[in-house]
Amino acid sequence: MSTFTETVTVFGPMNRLVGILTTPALRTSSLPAILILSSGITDSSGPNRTSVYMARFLAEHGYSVLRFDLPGIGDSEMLDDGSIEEQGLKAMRAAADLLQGMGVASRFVLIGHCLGADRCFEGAEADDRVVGAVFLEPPVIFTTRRHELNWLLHRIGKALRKPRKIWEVITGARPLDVSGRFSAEESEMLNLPRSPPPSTFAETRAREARFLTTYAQRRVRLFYLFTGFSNAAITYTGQIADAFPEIKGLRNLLRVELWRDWNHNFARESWRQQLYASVLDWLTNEVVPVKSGT
Amino acid sequence: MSAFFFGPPGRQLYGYHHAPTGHAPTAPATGAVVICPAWGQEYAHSHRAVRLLARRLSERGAHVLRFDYTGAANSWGSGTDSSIPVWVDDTHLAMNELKAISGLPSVDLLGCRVGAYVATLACVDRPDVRRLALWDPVLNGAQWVSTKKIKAQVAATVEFDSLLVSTALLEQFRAIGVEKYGAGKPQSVVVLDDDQSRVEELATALPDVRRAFVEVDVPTWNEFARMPARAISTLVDMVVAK
Repeated sequence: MSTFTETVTVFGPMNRLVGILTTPALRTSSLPAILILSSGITDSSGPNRTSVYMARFLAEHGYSVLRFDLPGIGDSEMLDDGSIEEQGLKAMRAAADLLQGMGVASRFVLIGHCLGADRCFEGAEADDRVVGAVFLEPPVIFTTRRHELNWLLHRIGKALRKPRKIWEVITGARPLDVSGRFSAEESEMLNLPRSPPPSTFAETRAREARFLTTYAQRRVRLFYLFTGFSNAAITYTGQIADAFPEIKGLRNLLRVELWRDWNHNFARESWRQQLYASVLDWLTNEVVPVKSGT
Repeated sequence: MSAFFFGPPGRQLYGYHHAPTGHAPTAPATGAVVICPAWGQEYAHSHRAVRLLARRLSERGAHVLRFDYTGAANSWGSGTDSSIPVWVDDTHLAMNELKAISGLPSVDLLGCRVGAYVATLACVDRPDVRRLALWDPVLNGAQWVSTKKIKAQVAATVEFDSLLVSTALLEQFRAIGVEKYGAGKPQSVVVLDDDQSRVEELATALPDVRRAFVEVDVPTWNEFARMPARAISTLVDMVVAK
């Protein structure tokens, strides 16, 4: 007998949003509900069906999960002429309203991958029912001195493993490149997670700091997970807290995991199993205890 | 907006029905089209294109049902529950569902990539299939499999195209051959492909096939890309043609 039930859910303004609600056979009312956003332009099943299995796995552990297509993605329609950020916020609010109206939960955890993580970042700030957020491979990560040094050492170490290239540098056949910037190959990957360019750095950082400050004030728990796709952008687990030293208490709200061998879309089954286990562990140990005051 | 599960309890298939639009409400529907999607990464990459295809067909007065196979996307099960015979059964369920929704006695089947093969098999012993449309059908399964990554094989499962599936499904994929496209006997068959030679190859198995060769305007199956607008409009014209 299945330990969960899946229901197609059509909701939101003019019923333009589509999601799948996965509910456990035995629901625990004290647990927050989980909202999994669609990833990039992938539908709500997620890359390699990650969101489907994540929803089922969490439901087997008592969580109700609504995974849904953001407006204009998958089977959800655009809501209006607003920006994708504004429409994303409306969709997240509608999803939370739906589950709260059904009596499923009044607290929520957002999970987003890639651009979906970016939407989560905004959603967690805008709705104080959100008590936690999982950012899987968010596209913007802020650099620190330590990261730049780490990356420089990484590049030097990589070069030392290729003596021929060193010889080419010595003889002038190849320019020296240990600048810490992305390699040409990496630069071609337009979606590579990166620190914002100088032209928008201050503005983007201010926005990020505003959100993180709000999370810290509300004690929203944050879980960042990065794969090898983000190697050039983040090199140690303390980088996010170090990048925002002015935000008091932020470090205690963060869990950061770096899985260097994984790729951006969790292409291996063993990686996906670890991902689900990590999210459950974080929920169990860092989100759920908050309500009881621990 | 019409997303729903259908099929027997415990074996729910995700479906999305596009009702006819763009013609007088009292006018009869021009047809009923069940779309058998691609699979794996090709499914993900083509989702938007297939959604637009369904919408365009509905704007020409057709009922359209998109659905997900067992163990794929939003439907029940895992990859190891998947097999081509199960997907053929799924297609039969989808056909019955759309006939019930539309009130029409017959359906058209439109299959994409591996879904073209599934749709072909689903025509067998189903005289209620009026027309079969094949979009870039996989004609050589072994060759198609060789273009995908195969990783860690454990017991009777294998990671294929980044998804955990049974080794049996992998063998079923490998066994796909052009000669098997002659299995179904719908009233008419149309095929759209970006490879002229493949279209001609298919014509040997289906001599009466009505075919179109469309140069690729944008990639559809191998990456997220812009809409293959020319392919979609050609296909719509072919499917709704009398």
